[in-house]
Amino acid sequence: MESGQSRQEGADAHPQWAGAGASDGIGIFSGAPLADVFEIERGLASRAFTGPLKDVGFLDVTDRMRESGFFEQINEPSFSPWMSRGRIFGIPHDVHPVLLAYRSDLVEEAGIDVSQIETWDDFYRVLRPMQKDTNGDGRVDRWLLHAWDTDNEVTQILFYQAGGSYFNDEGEAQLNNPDHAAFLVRLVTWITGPERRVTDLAVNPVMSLKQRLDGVVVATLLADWAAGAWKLAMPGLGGKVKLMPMPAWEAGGRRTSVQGGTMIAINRNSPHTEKAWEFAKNLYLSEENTEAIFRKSSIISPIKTMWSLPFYDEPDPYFSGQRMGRMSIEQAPHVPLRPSSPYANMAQAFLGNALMSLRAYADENELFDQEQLVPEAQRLLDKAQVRLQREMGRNMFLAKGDES
Amino acid sequence: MSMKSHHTRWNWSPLFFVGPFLLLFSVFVVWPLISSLILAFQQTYGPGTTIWVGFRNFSYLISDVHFWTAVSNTAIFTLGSLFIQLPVSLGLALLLNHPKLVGRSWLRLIFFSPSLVGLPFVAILFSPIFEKRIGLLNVALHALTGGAGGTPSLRGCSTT
Repeated sequence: MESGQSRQEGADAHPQWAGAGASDGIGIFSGAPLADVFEIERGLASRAFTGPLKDVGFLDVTDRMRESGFFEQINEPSFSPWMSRGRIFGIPHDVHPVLLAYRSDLVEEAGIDVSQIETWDDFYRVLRPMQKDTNGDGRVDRWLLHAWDTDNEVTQILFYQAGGSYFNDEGEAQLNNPDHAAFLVRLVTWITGPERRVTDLAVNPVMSLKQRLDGVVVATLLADWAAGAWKLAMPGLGGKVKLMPMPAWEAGGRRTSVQGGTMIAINRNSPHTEKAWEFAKNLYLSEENTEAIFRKSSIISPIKTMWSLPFYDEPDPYFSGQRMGRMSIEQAPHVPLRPSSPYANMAQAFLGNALMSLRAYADENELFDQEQLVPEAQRLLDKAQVRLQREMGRNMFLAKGDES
Repeated sequence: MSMKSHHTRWNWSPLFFVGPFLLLFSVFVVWPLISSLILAFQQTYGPGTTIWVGFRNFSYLISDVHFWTAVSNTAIFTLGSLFIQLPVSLGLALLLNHPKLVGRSWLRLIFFSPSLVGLPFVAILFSPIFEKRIGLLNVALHALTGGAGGTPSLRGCSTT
């Protein structure tokens, strides 16, 4: 195998691989020379699904996945970002379950037992004493959760957990589902008004790291990959944080969500399809690399048979000795589906805009009662729905119900 | 009386001189213009997959409220630049050039100094100043007013 940088020397003999960036996105559409295999993030990959199925630049691996048995072995939700019109266009890299990371040093110092938390209402009730002005300057400087109306990523994690979905089973937009309006209203009351419980962190990355170390937020939603990133970026938090399943929206509800996603895809025009397939399988699906990926980045494998491997049970000193791998795996079967629609990013942005507008409306009118906010939330989502439908309807390739 | 026959001979030399220009102009200006015109009536999925959509792209654009907002903003910005920014900057330049202006050198330095610092550095420097809540500006405002502090942030602006 050769990296994309050494493409010229090995062009005739070996497949090449590359991490896909914007230029590869252009290459996928234009037919320009590309690596045989590329690793691609879902936001970029979904753009390839805007056209006719027969022209998608990734090799259709549906039959290969079935014949090799991986279709049954891989956690079902892991396929969703890489499927379009019933076909699979890449090998899933991950599950990316989201857990709740909390400052165990602060929580234990306050004598709070988090085991009694099952729902978000429990979470805010139990941790309520921790929200306070810690330095006596008259401002609250410790909040319970990192979330904000401008933080679309956190909003989406919570949205998926709450059962939200931008599209129905037929792929049609359904942003203005009344359940989504109820979700927005509930989130707004976390962000503003007398029951405010959350805060955002600085945009400046250095300042936000400092805020985390200072304990400005007690808890943060953390996908497995983000746990790996924390270990690298904030070694100072080692031993001061613990994980727990996300509190559910309702008792008995889902205790996790999902964030991000990557696949390995094979260039449809690759002259080395078989070698590329073998390489991709080894890279993502072999036991050896599964362990390496987990140890390096805390990312768990999407292959269910790998979940019993012993390294997932090792105590993680960063998370105060908890078995971070096992905790993630316990939630893995329950992660919500990530849409592969090329309009998912747009839907996410529209939902975020609606949330910001609703928060502004609540502030301007000093309305913080959930029932009173529902009509405005519904109006904003109706408006967003029209926009999304308009954008989706413009695509003549998909509007024709392409199955080619 | 002898008659000279005049043969019209095609002179290639002018073409030789303008040829390279014509070639480059055609490849990099004329052809992209024609392609853009064709593209305006198509929907594409890469250059290999296209379908004709008639005037749909135009009707989509014209019926988009955000397009008209962008047109309006561009017009305001252009008029502002033309009738406010340009005359004011010209006036200031003339003023700075006036020999009787007190502190002329210092004022010139103040005006020119932003050009000495790259924009990325300016952004990095100002980021901790304007950061919400914990930015230096907000901390100073809070200390002065004793209130909640916090300047409105563009991050919080709604676009819906």
